Amino acid sequence: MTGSDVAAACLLTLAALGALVSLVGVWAAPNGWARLHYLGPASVVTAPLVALAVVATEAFDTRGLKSLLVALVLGAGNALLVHQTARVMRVRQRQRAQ
Amino acid sequence: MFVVLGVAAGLLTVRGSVMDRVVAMQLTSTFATITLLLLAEGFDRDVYFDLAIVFAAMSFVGTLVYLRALEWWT
Repeated sequence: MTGSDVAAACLLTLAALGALVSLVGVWAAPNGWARLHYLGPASVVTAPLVALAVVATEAFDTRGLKSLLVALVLGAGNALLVHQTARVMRVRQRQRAQ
Repeated sequence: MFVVLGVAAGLLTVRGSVMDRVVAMQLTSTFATITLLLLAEGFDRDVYFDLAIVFAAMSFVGTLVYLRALEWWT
C-alpha cells in the first residue's frame, strides 16, 4: 500500500463522514429552512474530498481534472440551488399567507 | 457506502412537504454524482468521468427548472 493509497483512503473516509453528516442533518432537521443548511457538507466537503482522493491516486491527469471539475460544479451549483430553494420557499410561504 | 447513503436520501424524498422533498432530491443527486465519480475511478474508465460531469450539470439545471415551476404553480 503506497502513500497515495493511504491518503486516498483517509480522504474518502472523511468524505463519507461528511456525507453522513449531511444525510442525518437533512433527515433530522426540524423544518425546510434548517434542512437547506445540511446540503452544504455533501457538496462543499464531500465532493472536493472525493475529487482530491482521485487526484491523489491518479495525479493531475485527465481524470483528476475531471473530478475537480465535478467538485467545482457541485460546490458552485449547491450555493445557487440553496439560494433559489430558499427563495421559492419564501414565495410559497407568502402566497399561502395571503 | 455512497450507494447506501444515496438510497437513504432517496427514501427521504417520499416524506414531508414538497419543498422538503426538493431538498432531499438535491441531496440524492449530489450523492448520485459522487457515486458515479467513484464508479468511474473504480472501473478505471475515462468515459465514465464525463458521465459524472454531465449528470452534475443536468441535475443542477433540472433542479433549477423544477424550482421555477414550483414558484409559478403553488
